[in-house]
Amino acid sequence: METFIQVIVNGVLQSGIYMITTIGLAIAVGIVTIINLSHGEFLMIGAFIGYLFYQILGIDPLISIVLAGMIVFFLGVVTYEVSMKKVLFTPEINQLILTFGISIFLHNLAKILAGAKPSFSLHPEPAYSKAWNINLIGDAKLGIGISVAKFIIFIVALGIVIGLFYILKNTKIGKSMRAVEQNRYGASVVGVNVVNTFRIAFGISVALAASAGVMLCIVVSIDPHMGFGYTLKAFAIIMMAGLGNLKGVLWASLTMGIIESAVGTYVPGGTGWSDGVFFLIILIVLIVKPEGLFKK
Amino acid sequence: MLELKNIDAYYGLVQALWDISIKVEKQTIVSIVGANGAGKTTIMRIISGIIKSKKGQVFFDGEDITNKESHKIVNRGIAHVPEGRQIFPHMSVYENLEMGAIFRDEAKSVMADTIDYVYTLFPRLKERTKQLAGTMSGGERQMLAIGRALMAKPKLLLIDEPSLGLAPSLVIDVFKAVKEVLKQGVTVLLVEQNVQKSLKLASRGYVLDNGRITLSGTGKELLENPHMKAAYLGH
Repeated sequence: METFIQVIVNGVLQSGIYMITTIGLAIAVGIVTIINLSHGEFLMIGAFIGYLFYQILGIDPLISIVLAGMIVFFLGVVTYEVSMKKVLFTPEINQLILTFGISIFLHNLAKILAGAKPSFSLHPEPAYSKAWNINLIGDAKLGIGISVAKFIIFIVALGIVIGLFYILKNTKIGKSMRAVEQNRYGASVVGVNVVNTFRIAFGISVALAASAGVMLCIVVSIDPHMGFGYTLKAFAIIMMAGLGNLKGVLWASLTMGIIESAVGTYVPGGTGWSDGVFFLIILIVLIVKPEGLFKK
Repeated sequence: MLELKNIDAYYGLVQALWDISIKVEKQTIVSIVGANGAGKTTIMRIISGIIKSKKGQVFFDGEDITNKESHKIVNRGIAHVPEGRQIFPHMSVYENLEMGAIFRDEAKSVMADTIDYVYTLFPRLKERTKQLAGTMSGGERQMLAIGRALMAKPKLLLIDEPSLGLAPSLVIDVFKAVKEVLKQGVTVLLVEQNVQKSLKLASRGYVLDNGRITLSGTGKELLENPHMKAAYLGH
């Protein structure tokens, strides 16, 4: 029983990172209409910003979540201006080649900069990198452990999600983004500055990935190769949620987080399998319900 | 108020408009009629900055607005009711209307009043204020598209094929609304395939054929023109 609860708790806590990574990618795909294969590399950049700021400047990674978000927002705007802009509305293959190229470039650049060291983790660990042990129903045998860091990260991720939905609903740029997503022609005729909306949406998209990256550097060891797996997972979650369904992304992230945690625990040699399960589920979703599992 | 001078336009390499010159006087309805594919919608898109012209100029209130970005053109007071409505399907009626106002500085501050005005013009929209626009009928969407454009407090309203796909009773409603808008001091440029109805309403009309203006005159003149009668009015 406590294993089961532990599995759910771990899955839920993990899903926060998936939520903001994937909502970021969903903004690129749905609003900017860019299939961004380099999304995970922006996450990786965020992770290294968090790591370096902590090791060199002593900045708490929780603060770096915001800082990395801002830095990578501008990086995203620049990337959009010099490259993405040129492949909008051209055949998708152009986008795929471009963004795949950016992915390889950033990945290898990170590899060169990282040198021989295979992976990086925060040293010393921040004070909140410990676990709470909670005894259910006052019985010491039914105890589960909650990592304080993961819990904080989950709450921050939820905060970011709520903030983002607030922006989409209530601000001019948020409304512009929704308008462009729902009807680009309609957006132009009411006076939305579509070009500027694309630029900012892309910045927000990769900033979210970077924030997720900083969260990851707190709880796992990071490396230059970490990005691509998250790109794939984020695409998988988008497919599960249904294209253009941001709220569905939340539920799909939660589902995936829990399934991943369950497979990692219950299947022998499970941690190796848990990544693969993502794609097995996507395959099933695409066959059974290709429009996505969650109502818009 | 609006003047197009010798406009040429292309879609890629294909020329769609040749030497289009049109004049719209203040507080009148001007109608452009012509067959499908004649280039009527292209003219509207040139004016509102959705596509760029290769040659020629567009003047609005004495200023050259040729090939300006569409959001700047909206801000100057030209609102476009595009062909096919182009409403925002996952936003409510109210939100759609709001979208019409918030991108024009002059319109934003008086939004509440304009919404009341749109609701009196189209009581149907008031009843459905919270409904998602994507779930509405064609006629309601057309009302919403016109209402959304009015939210910008435009000086000039471009209306593209408002009657397309509507039941006859709704067509009457829509044309009534257009007349009502004119009374409020808004100038209207109307593109319609319903030649008879739109020329009756218009003080001036242009006939577009294969991207060229072949005929122009007052609405009445055009309705009585023998060539028009034969080609468009089925007499």
